[in-house]
Amino acid sequence: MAQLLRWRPRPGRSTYREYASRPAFGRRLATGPFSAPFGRLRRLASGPFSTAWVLARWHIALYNRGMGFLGAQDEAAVTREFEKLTGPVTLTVFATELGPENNAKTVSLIKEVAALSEKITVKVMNPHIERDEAAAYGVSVTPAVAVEGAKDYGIRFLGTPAGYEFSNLIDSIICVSTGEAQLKDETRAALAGLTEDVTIKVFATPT
Amino acid sequence: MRLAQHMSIVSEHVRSECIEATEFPELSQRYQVMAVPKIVINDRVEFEGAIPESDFVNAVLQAVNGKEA
Repeated sequence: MAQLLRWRPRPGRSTYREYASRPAFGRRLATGPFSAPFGRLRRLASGPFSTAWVLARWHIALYNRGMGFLGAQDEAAVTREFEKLTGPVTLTVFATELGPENNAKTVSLIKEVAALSEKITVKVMNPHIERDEAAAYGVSVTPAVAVEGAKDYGIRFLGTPAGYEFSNLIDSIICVSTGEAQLKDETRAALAGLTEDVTIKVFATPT
Repeated sequence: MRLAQHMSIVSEHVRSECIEATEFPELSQRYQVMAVPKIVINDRVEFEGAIPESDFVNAVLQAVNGKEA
């Protein structure tokens, strides 16, 4: 590692010449059996990126790999549920990169869920940039997720749909895909008589 | 929430929003959310806790009819 960190382009000499000159080539050979795994790092670090930058990116990649929201069991359970999907589903996520961290969390959670079925597509939008779309979806806060099937049934999730809301998210994905609701006949009859728009807000917490 | 979602599938007039109460404290405060799940229909009818399907439909109809009256 010391060898690795010591090797960096020197001011006043071009990186390419440093790399191609005989002493540099010799140093590369001299690193011995450990040179192979670091080959990519060295190649990157000799270019426009500093060693620290490359190491930081690797660290982030490794860290994120272990930070999935869904464990193997959850994924298996959701995949089993998603076998019921019949039609295409679009999940539109409204999030801003400059907002609080729950924006990024929501985006990665939705992407993880969507990866479990090829019937699901994800759209990520920034409500401050794609204002027309945000207005069309009636979204004024972030993060927000719109679940659409063959048409927009008007199902929205405001905030990260984790915990208690996660099962509702999965349930709503299956509903919009099949277009079928599990309701009593009396309920269907009562709702058929509706002429005005109704907005039902459900407040929930993750636990 | 499950009921609200299934209702919006059945009727195009029904729109359901599932709101994370802890992430939107202003909204929770405006609707005075003390317990979850709290359901607010058309900003008019509200109740806390899970209720049977028939009561839920009545609440929806009440919210609509109250507006007409």
